[in-house]
Amino acid sequence: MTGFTKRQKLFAFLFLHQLLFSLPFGISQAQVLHQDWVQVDSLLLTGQDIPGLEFVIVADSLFLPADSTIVRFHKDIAQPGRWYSDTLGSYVEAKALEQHIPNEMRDRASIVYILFKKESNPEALLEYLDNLIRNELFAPSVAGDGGELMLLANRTAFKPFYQIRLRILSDLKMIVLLFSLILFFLASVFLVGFMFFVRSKKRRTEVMTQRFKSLCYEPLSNLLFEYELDELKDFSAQKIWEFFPNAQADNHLFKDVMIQEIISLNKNMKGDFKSKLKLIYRKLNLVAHSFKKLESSQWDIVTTGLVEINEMDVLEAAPIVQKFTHHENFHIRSQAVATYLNISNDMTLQVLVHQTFPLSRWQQMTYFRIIRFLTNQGTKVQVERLFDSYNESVRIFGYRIVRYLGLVDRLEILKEKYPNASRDEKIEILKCFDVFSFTDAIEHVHQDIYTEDKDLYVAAVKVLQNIGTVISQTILIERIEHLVDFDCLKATLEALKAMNPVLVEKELESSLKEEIRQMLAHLQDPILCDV
Amino acid sequence: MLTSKTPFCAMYNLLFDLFVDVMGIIFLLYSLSIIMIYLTMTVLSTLEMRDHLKKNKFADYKDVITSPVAPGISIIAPAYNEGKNIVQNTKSLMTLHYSKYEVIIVNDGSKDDTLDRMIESFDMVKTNFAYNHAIETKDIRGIYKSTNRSFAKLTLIDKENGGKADALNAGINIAQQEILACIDVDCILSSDSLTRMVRPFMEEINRKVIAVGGVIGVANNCDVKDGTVTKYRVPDSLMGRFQVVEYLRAFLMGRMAWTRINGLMLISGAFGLFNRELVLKVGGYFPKTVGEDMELVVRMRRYMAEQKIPYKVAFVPDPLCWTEVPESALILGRQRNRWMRGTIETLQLHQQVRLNPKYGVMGMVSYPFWSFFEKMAPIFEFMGLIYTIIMVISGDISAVYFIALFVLIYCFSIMISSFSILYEEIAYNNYKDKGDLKKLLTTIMLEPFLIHPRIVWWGLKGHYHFIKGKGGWGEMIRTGFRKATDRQNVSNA
Amino acid sequence: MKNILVIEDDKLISSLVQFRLKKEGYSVTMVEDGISGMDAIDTQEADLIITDVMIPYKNGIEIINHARKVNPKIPIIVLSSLGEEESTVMEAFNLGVSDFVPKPFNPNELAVRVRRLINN
Repeated sequence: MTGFTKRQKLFAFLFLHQLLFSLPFGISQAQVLHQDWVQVDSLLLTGQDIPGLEFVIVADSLFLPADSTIVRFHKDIAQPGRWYSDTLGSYVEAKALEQHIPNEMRDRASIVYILFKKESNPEALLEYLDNLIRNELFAPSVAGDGGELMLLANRTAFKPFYQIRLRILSDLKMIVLLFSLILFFLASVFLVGFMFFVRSKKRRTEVMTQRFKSLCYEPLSNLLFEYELDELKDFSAQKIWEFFPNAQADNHLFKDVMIQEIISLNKNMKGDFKSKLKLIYRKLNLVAHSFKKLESSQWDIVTTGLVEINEMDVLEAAPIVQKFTHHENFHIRSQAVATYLNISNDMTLQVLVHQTFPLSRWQQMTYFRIIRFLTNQGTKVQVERLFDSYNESVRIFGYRIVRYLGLVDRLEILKEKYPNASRDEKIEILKCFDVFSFTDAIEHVHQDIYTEDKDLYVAAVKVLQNIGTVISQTILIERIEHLVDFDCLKATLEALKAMNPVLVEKELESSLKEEIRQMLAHLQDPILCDV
Repeated sequence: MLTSKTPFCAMYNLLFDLFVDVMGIIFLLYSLSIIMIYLTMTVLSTLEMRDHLKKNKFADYKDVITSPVAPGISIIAPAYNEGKNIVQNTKSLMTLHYSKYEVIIVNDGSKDDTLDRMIESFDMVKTNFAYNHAIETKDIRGIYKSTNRSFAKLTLIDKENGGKADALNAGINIAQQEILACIDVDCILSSDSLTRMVRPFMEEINRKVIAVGGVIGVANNCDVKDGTVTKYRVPDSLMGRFQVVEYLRAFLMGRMAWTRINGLMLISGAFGLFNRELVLKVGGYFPKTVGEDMELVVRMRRYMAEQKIPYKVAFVPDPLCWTEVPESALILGRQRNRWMRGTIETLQLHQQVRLNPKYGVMGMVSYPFWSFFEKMAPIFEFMGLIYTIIMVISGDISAVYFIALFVLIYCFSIMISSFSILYEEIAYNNYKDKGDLKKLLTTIMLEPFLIHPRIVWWGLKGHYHFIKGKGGWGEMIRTGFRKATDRQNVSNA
Repeated sequence: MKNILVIEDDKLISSLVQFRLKKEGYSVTMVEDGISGMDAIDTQEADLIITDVMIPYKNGIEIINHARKVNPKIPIIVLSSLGEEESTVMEAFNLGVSDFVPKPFNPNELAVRVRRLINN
């Protein structure tokens, strides 16, 4: 039975609207009773047991045949010709009995209402029922299966709070479920649609790109191999376009593909082929297409434009490119600086010196490639300008270039910079001293040999390994006593061993420290030395 | 009807109904939040992928190979009973396209001929390598180098068996380069994997990149020649195919989304790059947990947050690394059990992070997500199932409502999975065969019925084993690390 | 007709080389990766091989080694964007490649070198 109530409630919250309607229904029923006697009749016909109410059928001047079916009628002794039925508990039963009265006499029979053993009139009965319903002593049932349950739910007067709570919970659940369903469907439709859109767009672009590529390739090869540079110079744009019979000169994608092909050929070829390619690029006015890209609001398009300008050496673009060299987008900025370095002919590297953003290694890699290229071309790049930048990463980049390009003549400047340099700069400068065994710097290196900073110390010791003097040896031997860090100790021993193996043997071979003995063994291992 | 009117029973009913209602609400909210989160993730990962593909257009990875600016990399590959493949695998590691790198193979006390094969094939000899015990490990038996100059970048460590984390720690101790690449030795690495993975380290300017994770692909049934996947094919077994979908989902959607908000907490142990200095600072891998890969990332992140240094954990979605996944239920079950325990242990060890604004995104988003969804998912799902079954048995009509909820979740999971396959197609298009796509789609449909229940079961087992086995280091599990550097105080032995 | 095998992953370069060498009257076989390169060395009777040292699936050195094993006398030209000072390129020289052409390159120059090697 407990399951019954629980089920009833769950039932309720599942079919929420039923529950919502069941309460007002009871109230409206009570109000309707006043106006409509028919309703009372139908209410009584539901066969519900109404307390204190009974029925009797009374028939006047009845002549009843001696039929056994009407045995339940009794003659009224006081009033002859009048018959009474038994007292019946149910209205339905009374109605059924009424049916047994032969047709021709039925209009002379009627149902009398007995309220608490007394005869009553319909008005009084109406009043009585109304009272019962209003005070919730009796609840009219609804037709159908769930009716009784619903009535019970209504009658549990001690649980109104519970019902409200239940309603809210059910509401909430319903709302959440509906909300999630809607959200889910909208989102999935949107996402899947979006994905398919992207996919088909990408497919289309790919197919087109392939087609355009095959359209470009043959004519480009022909132009490159069949004609000399001077011949090409005399060609009009019209004539060059004629080599591309199926070209779609107005199609942006076609132009993009064309530029891409020219750029990658340019990257891989040498000599006057490069000039030929650039000439074709200019003649076909693809340069305007590249310029247009710089106006885009999407960073990747702007960057593509910059790449094209860079590869095709569009020198006149320098002022526009310069505007992008302080752009907040990393990719635009990097590409702009690289392009500017390449096309501006500014050997003082001002564009780098004035960079406010720190240089990432990725950018350094790109810029270094260009600076190396320029140097290899024979241009005198003033790398030392970078040392005076306010941007530490730019200064460090400058020192690195010295090392990578072997600019030995700048070492003197580095030596001057060293005492006032930051820790990171010092490490970078020390590496330069090390690579070129710059003996003039030994005083500076000695100054920093007492540092607590591990990286700085190791960098300094490495320099001493190459340029160290007797003084350095003495300092290092003394330092060994105080060194705890493994890498520092190892670097020191390595340096000492390189400078003066005899001294190491004398001073340290008998060392009691396990670590030192291990390191010495390491340093003596022929295979490890070889590496 | 009479009994229900007595006060006691009414009370009982009230409580029971309340319980049923509350549980219903909890399950509903849980499901709803999963849906919301995954939708958000889809959007985030799409944005991240779009940016990545755009960026790739401008990257000249060939430049990285030779540039002097590129950082050096130490590849560390622990090997345990890998005798059959170790030589071939080492060879392919030695031919990666990168100029400044070394390869450290750690023989973790193999019982087979791993060591002998290495020594023989690469002319290796034992050296007096001075070994820095920066991180405590099991005893080192010897460090080998090759007498052949062509193999100068190869180092072999032979040590007592101590598990994967311990072996990695030994490798970290002798690594010389700035970046560590920790990999599974049986992984297949694409030859340009290092140049691509090193990029985030080189690119970031405002934040320090502490680690970079890579995508792991499923190599089963693919053609592999000399250490590279040449032809993609989906595995034959449903178990294998399921993992293809799962990996795509986890890497292309999950980790991409986390990267977008810089909330990535897990870098797969099969292929990840780390800043060596930082790894040493936090004390290397923690060998006492089975989830050492996740634990290290969380600890490194904690360290950066505690030092108040802006940092980033990056992720490279290019397909660069492939591995054979287990297709037998037994082995897969063990793996999932271990993953679950690893997750629980890591979360326990770093309870301090939970909802702590000091740890930023990790504390406020990633950690709660992991504890609530990754860790608790099997428990919630299992309870939800039991709940529904009870309702169905008791003939309760609201079971219909729950079944509807399940259908919703089912549709949703299918959507997310198909989405990640579409994703793969747009980004890489490796599975070119139409039949393969069909097979994957079938897998998606079947997965929730045939595979997912087992995954849930293995996850539950993981929970059970965690509870059962926590006695060994119970105290630490209870309190966790108070600071990232606390790990140093824990002896490995 | 002399047959030349070109192993190069950049399609544009290989078709450029093909275009140029066909003009010289050679037949040209192009492959894009190391594995098909190895196969081509085994199956095609090439008179000269042009290869990059960084190609998918294989190290260029392995290709050169393999080609030398099949035909110790075959001329090999290395076409690469790596500089001559790179260790891989040095190694290639040690294996006795006939010539080294750094990228970017001049196709005419390459054609001249090919002709010289084939005529020898």
